[in-house]
Amino acid sequence: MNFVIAFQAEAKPIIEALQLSKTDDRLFPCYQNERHRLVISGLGKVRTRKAVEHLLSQGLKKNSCWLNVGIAGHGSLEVGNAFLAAKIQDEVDGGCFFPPLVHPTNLPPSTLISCEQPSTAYLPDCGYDMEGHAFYGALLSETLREFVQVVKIVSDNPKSPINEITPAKATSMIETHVTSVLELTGEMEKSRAEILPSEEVGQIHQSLLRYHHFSVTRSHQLYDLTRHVFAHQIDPRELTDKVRFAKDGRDAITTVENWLKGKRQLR
Amino acid sequence: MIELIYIEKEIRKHPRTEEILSRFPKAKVLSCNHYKEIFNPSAQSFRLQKKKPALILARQHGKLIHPIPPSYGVGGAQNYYFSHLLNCLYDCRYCFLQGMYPSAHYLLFLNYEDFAEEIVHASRKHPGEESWFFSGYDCDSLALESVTGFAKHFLPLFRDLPHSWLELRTKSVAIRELMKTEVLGNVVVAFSFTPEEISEQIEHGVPPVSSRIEAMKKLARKGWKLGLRIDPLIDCKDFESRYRRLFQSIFDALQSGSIHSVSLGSFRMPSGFFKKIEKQHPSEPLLAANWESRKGMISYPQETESALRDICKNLLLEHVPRQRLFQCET
Repeated sequence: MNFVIAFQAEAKPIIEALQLSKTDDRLFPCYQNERHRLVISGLGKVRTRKAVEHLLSQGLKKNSCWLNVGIAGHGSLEVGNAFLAAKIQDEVDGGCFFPPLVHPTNLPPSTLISCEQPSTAYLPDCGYDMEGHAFYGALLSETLREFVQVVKIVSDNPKSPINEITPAKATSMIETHVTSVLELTGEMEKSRAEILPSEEVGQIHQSLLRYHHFSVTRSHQLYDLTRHVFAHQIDPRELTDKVRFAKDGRDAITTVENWLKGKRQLR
Repeated sequence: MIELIYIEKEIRKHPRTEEILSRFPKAKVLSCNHYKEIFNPSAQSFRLQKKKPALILARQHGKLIHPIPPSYGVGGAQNYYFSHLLNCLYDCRYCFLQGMYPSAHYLLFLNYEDFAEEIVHASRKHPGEESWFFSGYDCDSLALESVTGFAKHFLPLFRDLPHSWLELRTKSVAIRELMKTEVLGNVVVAFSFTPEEISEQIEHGVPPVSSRIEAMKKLARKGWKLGLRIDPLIDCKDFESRYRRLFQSIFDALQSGSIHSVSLGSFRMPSGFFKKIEKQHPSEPLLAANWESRKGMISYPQETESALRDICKNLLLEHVPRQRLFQCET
């Protein structure tokens, strides 16, 4: 799970809740534990994009989950309320992203407009930040859209102006919603686990590759056959025996294919 | 049921939009310029969206009715399909929609009047010939009737087109609209089936076979013409006895005379769609069957396919005359 957060004061409650340790990255302040990384991006689109690229350059796993958390203005919601961005619009060019909202959460959805400068315009039902759109845009070709989400906590609205916000207030506002934020990231990780290929299939496949030389194509074929064995709930030890006692890689594929033929019917 | 509704700005004030919104007072409503902003982007997970689909309300532009593939008809001279709705309430593991669309959201095209206009136009193009219009290719025709009001709108249209036929294809039991509408002799309500044991494994969210037979019974009693769509045929353990039991239960409940047509269809899917679905459901047993790729399509090996079809054909001929049995082939 990757967090991209503009300011230290906003990140503090998450760093504490997840017991993240500071890394020695020099480009951006970064924190991490075994399963989470967090980068403090600084304000605005350019720094947000660069912070995302910084984390991406560290070789992340396929279809990683990403969350941008921070404070934002809002035209309708009360100060202190949190929302999940359902439509993220760039104030300058009007371009929109619609993150698919598929994860169970108690955070209400709202439109978010990402501005170049702090905004004092408050349209009804709209939130205002300076990072969301750049954050989402930077991840379009990196992961599934379901795994990129933006959560904002309302720091200012027409009744409560932006100049009253202090770092301490920002920390306290985010702190109030840490549980909801972490529940959401938990659900995102759960969804990710659901759609990733089974680790067990990968492990068995790797172990089978040791018995013979397999070309790249045959290795893929063997992976699919291993997956099919698991799909039909066949004991993988039988598969291992078939591969082990085959003459070579080619024979292993043919033997397993023939053996599976009679076992592939739906129950 | 629907928590999020996206609406194209162009149709925000459409009366059908207002009607649908009134049914979901708690849903969050978001505007968009074009449905493609939400529906079309790549890198979306159909599987994850299926757990919580949103509703997109849009206007469909361009050609609205299309010719069906050859041999997919049930006896008509001119055959078209049209899709007022993309995606389905149910989650059948063999469904090509999972491979065809990047998104699982329900995409409803509200400009029914435009669809109707094209249907009327196509009907008049071939005077003296029967034209068929199939509505359930990219969705279930009836399952979301309470949201779409589709049947309510289109049935009266066909009352005025006596030489044209409408097929409503469904796995649902949402027949309320049909039960309160005067029967039309040129409308066929076609139910798709696989045996219960198969349905339970791979047709997620679909009402039980017995409930669907019960719905058919009610419609038959009222006088609606029924269709039976055994499509796709699914190879399984005890194939013959399971399909025999299925047909027996259907024909025990219904007079053969109320069945307008029966069609049999083998499993066939473009390889590209199949690969996409396989990626989404890597541990699905159905997708790990003995598939074969022929001319870019995934299907059972020819021999298996013919055997399954022959078994079902013979079983069905015990109940319906040959001229009412059709085979869908690619």
